[in-house]
Amino acid sequence: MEDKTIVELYWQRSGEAIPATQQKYGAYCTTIAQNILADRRDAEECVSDTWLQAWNSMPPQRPAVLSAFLGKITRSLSLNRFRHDHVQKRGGGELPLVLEELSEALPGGTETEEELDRRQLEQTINGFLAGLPQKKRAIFVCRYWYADSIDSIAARFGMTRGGVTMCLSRLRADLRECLEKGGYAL
Amino acid sequence: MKRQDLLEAVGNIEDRWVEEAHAPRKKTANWMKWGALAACLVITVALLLPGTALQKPQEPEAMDGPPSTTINGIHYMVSSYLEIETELPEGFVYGGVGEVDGQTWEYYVNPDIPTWVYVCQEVYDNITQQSSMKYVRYVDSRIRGKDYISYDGRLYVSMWSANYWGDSPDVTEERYEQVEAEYGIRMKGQAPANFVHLGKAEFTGYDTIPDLPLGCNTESPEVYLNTKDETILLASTVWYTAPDANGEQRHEGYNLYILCDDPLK
Repeated sequence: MEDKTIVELYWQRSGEAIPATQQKYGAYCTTIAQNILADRRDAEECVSDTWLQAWNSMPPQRPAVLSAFLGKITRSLSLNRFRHDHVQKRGGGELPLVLEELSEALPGGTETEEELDRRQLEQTINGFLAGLPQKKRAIFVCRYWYADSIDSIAARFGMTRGGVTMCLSRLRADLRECLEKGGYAL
Repeated sequence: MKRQDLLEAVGNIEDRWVEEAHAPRKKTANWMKWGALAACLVITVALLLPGTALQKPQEPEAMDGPPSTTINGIHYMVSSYLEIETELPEGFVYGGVGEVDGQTWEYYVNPDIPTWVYVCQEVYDNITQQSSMKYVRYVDSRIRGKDYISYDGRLYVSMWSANYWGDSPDVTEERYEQVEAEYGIRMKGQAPANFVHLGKAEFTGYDTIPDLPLGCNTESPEVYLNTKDETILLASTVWYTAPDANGEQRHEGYNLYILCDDPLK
């Protein structure tokens, strides 16, 4: 079913909206949640909450890219669950590793308590991504948005594990440079 | 700033980057040709199981990677440009039966283009939810996804696509890092004074190894040669970034290309 047809079902408050969404994007959202949470039950709960939040969001929203709209809801819910349940003590999927890696991209290489203009930070990161070749951008997003494993990324792009690791390391260094040039405190 | 701040900010990137990352890599011309259909085909090509005429795509986490096959000892991977044809392209003839990720299909070869094979296989269209037989291009993995420029009998590979790891590196890691340190992967603005303009490269086609006096397999850029080090070329390019305080959005500059060995040696 086309995305615009699914969105129309929400706008019509049709009982078919959520089953149609689940059929098309269930696996996609489950992957995102499991990458972050590892625990299958926690991930399933976040995916179920995604459908509820989608129902409550449409209308008034009419997303142009339904996959990204749903994926962002799932990602946000999963990250909240990760924080509140302290699942990092049980392993927490890829997220602890992802956070560890992102430390390298911090300006000055360390965490600070500075007040952040979050909108500007998002704009800076979008600018950083827009300047990347498509493959490198996709690799970055796979790791730091989807929290895909290194092996999964290597398989997706036909690379070796070492190649992906090297690529991500360079991207983090480039992001750090971009953030430092953007005036974020060192 | 904390790493959690970065993680949350990454969460709000543009929807198109999110969608792009979990779609197959593609170039503009073919992506516009196939549209949303192309986004599904590569994922589904390798995932059809024996005995199932219509098979919905597997969950993303089950995907092993781009579909691939080995024929006569050469490893081929599905074209990163998603070249899929309804009719067998001219010059290709029946080559035999091979396996693509566990599935058996007929393949077709062209002695004039040994770096390509076409596999006649079932392709699932995620939009129409129908399967049909198509000819799918597979490319010698040693050149797949590589950006090349040919000049004066020599071959250059872009710094973006060059590998310096694995069994068949394009350049040594030492050389790659040396060039990256001196020039970067891409430079903005005018070409340095020691670069001489060679002309406009002729586009030789996707998935090709250009062999013209001045050819390129991705587009037709203006090409410049480093007169102090003829192993370095510049190829004109344009890219875009999000608007900043100055309103800047469009950038002009050059991609770096570095001399490489024959990838098929």
